[in-house]
Amino acid sequence: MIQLHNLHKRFHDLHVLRGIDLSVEEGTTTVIIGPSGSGKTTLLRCLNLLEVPSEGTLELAGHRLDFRSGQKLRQTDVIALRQQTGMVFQSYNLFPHMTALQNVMEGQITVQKRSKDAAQDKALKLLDKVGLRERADMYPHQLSGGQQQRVGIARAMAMDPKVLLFDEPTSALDPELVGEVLKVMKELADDGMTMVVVTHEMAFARDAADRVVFIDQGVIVEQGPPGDLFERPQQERTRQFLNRLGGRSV
Amino acid sequence: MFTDERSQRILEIMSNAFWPLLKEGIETTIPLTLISFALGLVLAMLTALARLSSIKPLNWIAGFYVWIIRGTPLLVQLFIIFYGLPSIGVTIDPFPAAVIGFTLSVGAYNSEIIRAAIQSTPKGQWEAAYSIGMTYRQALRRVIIPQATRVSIPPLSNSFISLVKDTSLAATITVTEMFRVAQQWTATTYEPLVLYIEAAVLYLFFSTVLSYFQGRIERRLDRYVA
Repeated sequence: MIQLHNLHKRFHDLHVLRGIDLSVEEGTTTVIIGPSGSGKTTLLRCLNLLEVPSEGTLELAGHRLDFRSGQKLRQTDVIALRQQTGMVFQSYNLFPHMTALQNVMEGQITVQKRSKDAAQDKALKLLDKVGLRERADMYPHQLSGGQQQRVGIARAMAMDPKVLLFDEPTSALDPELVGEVLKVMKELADDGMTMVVVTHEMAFARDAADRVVFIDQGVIVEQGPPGDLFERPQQERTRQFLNRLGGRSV
Repeated sequence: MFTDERSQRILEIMSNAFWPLLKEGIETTIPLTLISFALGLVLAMLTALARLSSIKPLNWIAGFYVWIIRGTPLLVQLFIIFYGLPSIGVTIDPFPAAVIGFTLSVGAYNSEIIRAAIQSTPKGQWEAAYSIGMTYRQALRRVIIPQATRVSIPPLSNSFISLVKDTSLAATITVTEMFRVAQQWTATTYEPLVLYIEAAVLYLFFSTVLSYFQGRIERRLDRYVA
């Protein structure tokens, strides 16, 4: 579903990603972990071109893009690739001037040109799936963080993405609201959605991930099934990172 | 202060002048304000988008326009348009000349308000719009502008109320608007104090009514804000 080859990202002098090779199989959940500043969020944002890689190759759902520095992407390529992906943000980023329902309908109507009725049907089904059908007519500021994030997931799902990207989806939430969001994510994973998740929730990684990728200083240090990576890390840096997390009582 | 006879005369002048002043206010001051502001807003939006554009020449043209208009007095601009342009063969009637002058002014000042409002919309809103596959234009129209509009209503209303009062400058290029009518009455009655106060009261009345509408629009747009 996703193939990255020798992906680099530079911000001026800062070399954030230093040659990432990664492959994500259809229907699997990949969790990316790593210390802050390791480049994990940048890597995720490269997958839907919110950041444009400086160098390398990205292949996603049959769209292949080659990046070379100084070369501008065509807008149509960018849009086509983004339409294969959905993204869930750390700070939800719901549209504050629209109700929950309108948030989930917006992309369907504006981008996919679906009829209003069809968009509403689908939006209500998705809100039902994330347990918020009763809140459909509320504005984001009337919802709790956990509810907003579940609307965010429904909004991303409404575009029928091939891949769902999660950028620290629970980091901004009060601890007691984390569970409801993780539960929805776990259900999506069990339904066979292809997901790439940047998170600090190691319990979720153990429970839902097919593959865990540890990234540090812009390179993938180690990757594997959660059992292997958490119980028998091969690299010293991975061990140190996991120990530090352990000490922080995860 | 005033003799009985003088008071009588002043009251008479004020009541005689009231309807002509109000009539010119409604027939000229208000239309001049509304037309110039509407055209000015369109110009302001285009200018703001040009300044935010990644196309360099558009930045320069918009920046140059705002620089010229903000850096020179409105009165001088009106004189150039109405008294100056005829000498190179461009003659414009008083009312359209005033509309052009005020539109250019509104366009320049309000473009900065709109630009700031667009830039104040959190970056995450753009990203959310892009992440569901929107183009720049779709994101702007569906996500950014509606939010920027709410932020920009108070400063735009300010600029609108300034314009109501600034239209009195049109008197200097022979537009018969409310202030010019007050001047004409003064010329025949020699009672400047009361007539200009009367005009001031009418401007105050118009601005107050318009502020009331500003409040209503703001409350309407506040629905979705915590």
